[in-house]
Amino acid sequence: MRLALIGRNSFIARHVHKCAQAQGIEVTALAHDAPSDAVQGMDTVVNFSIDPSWFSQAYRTDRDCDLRAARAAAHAGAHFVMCSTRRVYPDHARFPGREGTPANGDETVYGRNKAVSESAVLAAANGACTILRLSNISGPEHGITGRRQGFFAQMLASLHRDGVIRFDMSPATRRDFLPVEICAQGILLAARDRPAATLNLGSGTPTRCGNLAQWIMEGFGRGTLVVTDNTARDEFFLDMAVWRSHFPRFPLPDENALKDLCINLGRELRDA
Amino acid sequence: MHKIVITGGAGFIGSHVVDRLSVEFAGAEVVVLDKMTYAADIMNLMDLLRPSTAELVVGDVCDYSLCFNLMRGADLVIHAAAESHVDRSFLSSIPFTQSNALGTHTVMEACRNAAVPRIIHVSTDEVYGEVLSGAADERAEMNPTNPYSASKAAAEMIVNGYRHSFKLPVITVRANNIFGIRQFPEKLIPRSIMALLQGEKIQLHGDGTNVRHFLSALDFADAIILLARKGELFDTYNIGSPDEFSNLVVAQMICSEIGLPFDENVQFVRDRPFNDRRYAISWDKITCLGWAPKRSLPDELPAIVAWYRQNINHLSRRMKWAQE
Repeated sequence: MRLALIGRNSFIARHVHKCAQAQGIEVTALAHDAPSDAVQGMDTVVNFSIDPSWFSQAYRTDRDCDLRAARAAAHAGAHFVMCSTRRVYPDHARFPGREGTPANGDETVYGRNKAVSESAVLAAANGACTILRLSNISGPEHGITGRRQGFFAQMLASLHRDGVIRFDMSPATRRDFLPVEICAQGILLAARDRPAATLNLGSGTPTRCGNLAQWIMEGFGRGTLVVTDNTARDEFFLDMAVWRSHFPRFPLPDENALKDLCINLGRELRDA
Repeated sequence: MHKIVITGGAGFIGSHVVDRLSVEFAGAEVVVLDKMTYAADIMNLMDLLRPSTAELVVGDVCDYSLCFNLMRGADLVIHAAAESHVDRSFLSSIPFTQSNALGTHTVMEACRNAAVPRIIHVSTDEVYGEVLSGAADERAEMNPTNPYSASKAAAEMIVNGYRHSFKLPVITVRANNIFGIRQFPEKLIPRSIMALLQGEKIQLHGDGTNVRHFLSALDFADAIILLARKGELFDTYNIGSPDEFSNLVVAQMICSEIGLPFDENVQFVRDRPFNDRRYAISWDKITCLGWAPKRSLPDELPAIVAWYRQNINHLSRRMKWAQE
């Protein structure tokens, strides 16, 4: 398989690249602004790039990086893999989020833009497309700069800086977390098998955020959990039945894997 | 009270005390210091971790600087952190001495230097050792018979030294076996409930005729609140219950509650290297302050079984993690 990754510096792309190299896959890693003819000769194109305005401004076709990449892939005769988000599921339909339900986006601008983008990509790719709706992707995000300031990044940064993890939500809040290494393996599997489908990619298990903080502090050796608002917010998990039907042997992580991930992240942070 | 520190507050007994503190001393800052070992669970504090109620500090009671920093400005320190499972103490006793004796020493030293005006040290009735007849009052000599109770007795000796040498205002409490929800499934009651819920047999040490008194965690927490308000400094209080049952009878109660025949669901296993036949204490002193146990194991058992049934998946995972 000849694989192109657009947006090579993103957190997930770097793990996909590393994982692909380990599997002996020929990878062309491209910057977010690579010319469209750079994907000529590829079997599969995966896009990770995103326009900064995506998080705050309404959808515009000319700022849709997924659409641009999908068109380039179609022109090159390649399959396209779009990394979408669980945020395409509206608030009332995300526990669990299921691929068959209408996905017009949640309350965030980002979620709504991705939902619009999914439709545009499907039309542009003319069937040669896999859309992956990713859960919260988790990994060693400490020290990562730029736009990505996910839940794990915030926990690790404040624990390292102040010895404190701050929650503006209840520790009982349940979300679906997927270790980035497993996410990378899943993306590569989809890139290789090229199903023409929309698939969730998460753990399929709701985990309490407080447990993650507990395990990270356990690995770190110490830390304080401060809760500024005890409301459960943004709870979700992804139904993985469709994914399992395509990839029955893919090992989805359970809570043990998340515990190990968190303890190891805490240890790495302590030793950093 | 403006600030209360409780060690071991994310564990079984500690979390029940935190529950009561947050109600009885509403408005006080409650700081929970817990090492978050296998027996602790952040779930025990889920409803309490919110602004102006409680915060969790993950750390070791053997860490002096951490303890001192937390205890500065505290009006009350409740020291409930301990390694507490007797069976584990037979297998690996050094961590018991570290956490229970050295940890208590560290907490007391931090309290002394932070000039904490009131400290409650949570000990156990097991420091008295076997009481084959009658009941031990607070003046009875300590005679611990296993590594766990020995480490708790050692802790008490350290506390006593601080009381005399530095006039450290410590109250020591010695309680019966405590039961309730949130107890890690290693002690008799939760272990037996979980065994039956998982389709396994209850395992009883020896012939199961050893006798214990069983005190509700809610009654214990009430006693701690009372002592926080009215307990005589430098004194020791037993906290007990009249509910005296053999392990066999407790197993029968659990089988009955779950609806399984006792004879087919109990397995007798090799006894501990030493297993006290009976513990018994008198608690007249705290009765004089106005406390009395209000709950009984037979009455509370249905709700306890229901809680373990409701949380069986989470607890099963924790049991597996504890074995790793």
